[in-house]
Amino acid sequence: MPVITFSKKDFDELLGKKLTPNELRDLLDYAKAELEHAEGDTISVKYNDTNQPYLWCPEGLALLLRGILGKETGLPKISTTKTDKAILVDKTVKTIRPYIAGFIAKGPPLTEYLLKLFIQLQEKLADSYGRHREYVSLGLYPADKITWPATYKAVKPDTVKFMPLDVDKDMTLNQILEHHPKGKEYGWILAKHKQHPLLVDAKGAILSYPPIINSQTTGRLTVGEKTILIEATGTSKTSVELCAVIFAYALAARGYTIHALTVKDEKPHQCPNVQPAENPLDATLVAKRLGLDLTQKDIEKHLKRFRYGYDGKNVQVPPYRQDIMHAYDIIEDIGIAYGYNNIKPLAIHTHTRGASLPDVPLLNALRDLCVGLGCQEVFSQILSNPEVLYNNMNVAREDFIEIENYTSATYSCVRSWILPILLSMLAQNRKAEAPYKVFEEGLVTVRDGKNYHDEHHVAVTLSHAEANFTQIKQFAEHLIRQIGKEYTAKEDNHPSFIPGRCGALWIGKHKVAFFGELHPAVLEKFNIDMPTVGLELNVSVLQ
Amino acid sequence: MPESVENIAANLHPLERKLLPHVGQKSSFADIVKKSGMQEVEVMRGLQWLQNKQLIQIYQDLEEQAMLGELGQKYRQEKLPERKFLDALAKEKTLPVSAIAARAHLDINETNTVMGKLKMASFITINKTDKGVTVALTKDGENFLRKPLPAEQLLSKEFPVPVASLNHEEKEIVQALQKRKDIITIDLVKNISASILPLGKNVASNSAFATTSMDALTPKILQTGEWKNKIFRRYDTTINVPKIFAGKHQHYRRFLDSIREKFISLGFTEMTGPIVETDFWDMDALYMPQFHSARDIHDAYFVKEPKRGELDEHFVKKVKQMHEGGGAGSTGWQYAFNEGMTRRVLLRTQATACSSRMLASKNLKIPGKYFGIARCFRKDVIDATHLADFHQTEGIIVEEGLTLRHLFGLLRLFAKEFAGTDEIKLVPGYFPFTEPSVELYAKHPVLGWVELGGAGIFRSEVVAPLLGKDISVIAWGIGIDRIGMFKLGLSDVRDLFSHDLNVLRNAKVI
Repeated sequence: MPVITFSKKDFDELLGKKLTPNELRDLLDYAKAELEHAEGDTISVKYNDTNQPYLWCPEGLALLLRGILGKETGLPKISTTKTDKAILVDKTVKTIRPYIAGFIAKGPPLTEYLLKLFIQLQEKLADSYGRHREYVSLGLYPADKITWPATYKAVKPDTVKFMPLDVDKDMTLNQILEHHPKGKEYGWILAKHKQHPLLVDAKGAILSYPPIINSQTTGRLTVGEKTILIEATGTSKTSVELCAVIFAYALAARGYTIHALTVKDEKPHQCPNVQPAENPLDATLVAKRLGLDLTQKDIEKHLKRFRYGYDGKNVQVPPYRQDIMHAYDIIEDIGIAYGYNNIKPLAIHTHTRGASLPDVPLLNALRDLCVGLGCQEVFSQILSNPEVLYNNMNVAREDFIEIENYTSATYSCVRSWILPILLSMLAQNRKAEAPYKVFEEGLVTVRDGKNYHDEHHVAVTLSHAEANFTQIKQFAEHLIRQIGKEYTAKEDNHPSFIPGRCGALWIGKHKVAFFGELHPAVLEKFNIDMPTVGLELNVSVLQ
Repeated sequence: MPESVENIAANLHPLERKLLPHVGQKSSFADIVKKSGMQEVEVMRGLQWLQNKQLIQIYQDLEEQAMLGELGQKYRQEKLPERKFLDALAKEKTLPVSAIAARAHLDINETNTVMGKLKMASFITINKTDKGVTVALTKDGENFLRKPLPAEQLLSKEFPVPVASLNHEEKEIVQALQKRKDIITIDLVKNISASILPLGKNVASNSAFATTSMDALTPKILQTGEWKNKIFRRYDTTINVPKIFAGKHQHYRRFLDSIREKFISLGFTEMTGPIVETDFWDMDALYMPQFHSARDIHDAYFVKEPKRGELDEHFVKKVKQMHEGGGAGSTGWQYAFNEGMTRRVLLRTQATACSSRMLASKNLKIPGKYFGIARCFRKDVIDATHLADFHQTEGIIVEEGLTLRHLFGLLRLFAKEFAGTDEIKLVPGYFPFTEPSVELYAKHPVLGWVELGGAGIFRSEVVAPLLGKDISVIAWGIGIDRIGMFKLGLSDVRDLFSHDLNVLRNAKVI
């Protein structure tokens, strides 16, 4: 979730009101954001909504909150000036990173604070909205040095050389990917492509190598600059254009004028496009979703506070709101503007009969029986590892659900049985007072080739100086007998147990439980020096 | 009021009763053990109880005791070097030193020490000649060929020997032997003894002391009616007894059981889903676009084998259509939906996967209320507040005409039922699958505003493809692990799954 940092004083100026920390906290609810940190003049805001990136800068946040406070309502408009400058989009980028958006902003000399804010916005958009630059990345440039038109094309990475940011020598694209920190960090995005994107100007000067890095000579924005080029490249046209629009609104709020570029792809168009979208709004849907009986006037008031335009029929959606996919998206904003805590709750009176899952009574009965037999119930994590589940148990590893991207080897697979987990617990409790009698009822996942399914198991271990086969067989038979099932006892040869001291209970052609005296070699692997008997029962075959 | 002698006498423990006659004036502990025929621990315990009742006085004196060293033990079993030396001379009476040493198996050091000692005692004479040193046995020496040397006498005593019990000569021998290595050492030892006190004498001579009171009640006593003429020994009912560790349900499971009961009582039916899920039911069916940044917080564990799961093609088609081109009033996300990605097998990241399955189920009833308590998994570093393996409680209410006001009513009810509070705060929230979305906060008396969960009304884009029509579905999720921690008074989330037997045994039953 994106977090942005800015000056409180600056924000108060943008908002036109000096806010107390509590007022700010309350107002941030409207932006689905929270105050993460406040120290002196510096405040950090965290956004829970990853779908409204226009709020990820103080300018955008102030735009909304001015509306909420009623200082300035309705559709915010900015104007753009046409230019004869253009970005030519070459066909070669079509299968790699097909879209680009860009414009030029002119204004007062760039201050250090603003430069920092713009870089922050650039990074948040690329990182969070662009998912680590894979879908969108942005570049900021001093625009004066550029000879127009610029061209966005793709080249073979070993044929081109330029000086990337923070380096003092020319490097080929391949060298950048291999040696430059940014190349190493983002190279994976281009890994499957034979040709890589490049933005060059009319004289052939390389501006940047999207989405990796800008040029040191033509792509370094510094304090004092008055003319800035903003561009965004990516895999979706909507996304790159949205980023351009968000930047245009942020720059406009700082007194910059916005100068459009023509993006010449298959359908040449002006960028940024700051025209609002027109969405018809059916007022009955408002009542249907929110349960509020609002007049046309109320609806208009709340929409305008949320910076929409409204003519009684159609809603004008600001161009920086690409998250509006459904009338309900607009209606939610009406509800938020109305105030969630002003909405009167209604009870749901429809009668329904509640019920647990069908297997719960049986599972609970088995748990109660185990407690009745003197066992402490255990509740473990479902994730475990092959060492405990198979190696220590002297069991050949069969199919099981293994995690490909695990974070810790201790939790690298889903358990397929529970007994080993109780044994590893025993090893951790060697100092606890006797007797050691524990059980766990829970889910396991069993895999057979491509198929896998969950089962409910019950496992028991009894560990004390006199633990023996009879006790665990009594235990197993007690459980099955008490739930009223007929069973057959058979010899079993599970490798975790001493040969000849392992039995199983069968119901029809299903083995329901196996149990016995754990083999000393198994106990040794768990570092247990006490005779131990164990039982594993598959409840799922009982149903 | 002091207890009467008779009462004391009547209520003595059998151990005390057995011990008291063997306590005289300064009777030694060893003596009492021997005479009573009881075990040392029993004697110690009994004496302590008797002293507590002021019947006897226990003394712990420090006493010098002569102890046998390693060589001392050896000499006691074999022979003293002096004896070996004298024995070697027994036949010839005069012999060269080298011959004696060889015959007695003594090394040079031992030979020299022993020679010095024997000469001092005038048992031998030493003559130096041209051929070397010879030794001759004296008359005194000959006498001692047949009777024990003083040192031998001393070593034959039963050790340890209290130094105070030795006579003057014996003490001198001890001093001499102390100078030789490892034969005898003097240690300070705690010596326990006990003396009977006047009250003890009175108790012992009281008639109640002789008439044995009843101890444990046995079947035989009941069968014979023997108890009728006797009194029962009174127990100290305030005495500490050992703890027992009985069978017990796990604390967090009991809590989850209570949550299930609560939902059922509120008219909800339990739903479930598999631990190992597909991307489809976990995210795509919930209208979370495949490229979207909202997926970052759902850092999923992917499964190595199988990589692709089986899906119902009917639903894949519908969901794909919704993501790509919209429907039910929506524009859709407008991107190329990846059918390979939607089949990816992962560990369920959210209990909402149970809700999406329920919506698509033939068993869904409208109106219907459903809940699920599901184990979920996310790639997280494990610490006091995060587990890779955790629970979510999720649910849906499917009913035509439900609005945000009904959702708020439900949340108010939940705050009351699960957190026991009327004081709630509803804050706009964001979930990719609900619109509107809300977060529920409840006022905790100590912790202040605490987030209880999130909720919303499922987007049309979620409901229409799965249900075949777009009706109101209220959806909510409660962070049950956190509420459980509050209820159980835990500060570390790992304690919910504790493997520490002491924690499990001592956990409060709620």
